[in-house]
Amino acid sequence: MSHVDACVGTVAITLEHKEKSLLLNVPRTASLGGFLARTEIRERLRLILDVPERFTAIEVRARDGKGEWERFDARFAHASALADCASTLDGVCGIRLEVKGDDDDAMRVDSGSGWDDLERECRQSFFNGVKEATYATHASASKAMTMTRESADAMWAAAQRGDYEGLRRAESSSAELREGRREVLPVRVYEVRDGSFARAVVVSAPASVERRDITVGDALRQFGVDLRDVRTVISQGIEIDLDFDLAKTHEALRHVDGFLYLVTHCGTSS
Amino acid sequence: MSPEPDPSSEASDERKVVVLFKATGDAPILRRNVVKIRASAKFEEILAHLTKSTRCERAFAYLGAAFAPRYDATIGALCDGYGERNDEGGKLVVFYSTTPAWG
Repeated sequence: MSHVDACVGTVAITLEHKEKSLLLNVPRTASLGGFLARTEIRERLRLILDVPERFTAIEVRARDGKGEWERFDARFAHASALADCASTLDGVCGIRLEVKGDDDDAMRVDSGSGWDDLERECRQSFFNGVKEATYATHASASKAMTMTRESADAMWAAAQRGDYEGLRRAESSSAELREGRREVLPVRVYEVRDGSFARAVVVSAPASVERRDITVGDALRQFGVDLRDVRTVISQGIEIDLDFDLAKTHEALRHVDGFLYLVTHCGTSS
Repeated sequence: MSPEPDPSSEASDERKVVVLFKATGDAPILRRNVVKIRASAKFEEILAHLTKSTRCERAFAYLGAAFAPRYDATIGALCDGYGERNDEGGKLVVFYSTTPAWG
């Protein structure tokens, strides 16, 4: 089984805008901001939710352990990590996206130039991750930085759409980029404490760990996670045992940018 | 590091990392391009320092002349992953610019 097979699936996300809502199935591997900025999706959002072409903020909210909605700026994250942060396996993934138009009293996150800028920023963020993963494994990001425009476009399109064939091709390009002399694995760890989505923090950057004979638990310990406090570890919607081999977990569940995203739920049960 | 937010002024027995700043593009050369900073400090503190030192609206910082790490990454973790750890704490090279350089 390739990692693409394991990562295929969708996350149900409820989008809300001005008391209207729309349920979207977003591919797990898709960049959330990039997915929403696709022409056909933004058109649906405009028709069904009256989302303006230009807006000042896009927010993600998720239910915390107490059932309240909490704000979390997650435009650049991919859908799977968001869903894994938002819920434990036995809970329903509840993510609410709120789009604030120019006429709303919203926190400004940038100059407010709408979908095109959101897509550009998400693309930059995605390739920043690709370069970081390449640098971590190769001690140089030159391979990622000298990708042809066509390869980069294809990889971004795959990340945006989460389509199976595109992901397979993108994965093959991505694997070529990562072939290197350093025996490390790029990993990012999100720590969600007490079921509070808003308090999800990345504890891992830059997060590359030695490949040899390391378990997921060993890796988390290296990143400073107190294993006694960990209730669940989730990646791509799958519960990960602390005894799992890290290299095999990375092989099966890494994101197309080359990073394995481990979401740890710590603290008291939600 | 500048006097006010100097992260190196904290506990003296804490691990510190030597950060070497390299200008890219038309960024001004810093008067002091080597600083010692706490390993537990966040990368955003480096950005704040660069913004202040270059007297620009916003400074951009990169590692490996390639990518921008997460702003909440600690300097110690970045040094371990992308720099050079040694007995004295480690060394990390940070490229900076006043306009986006490597996306």
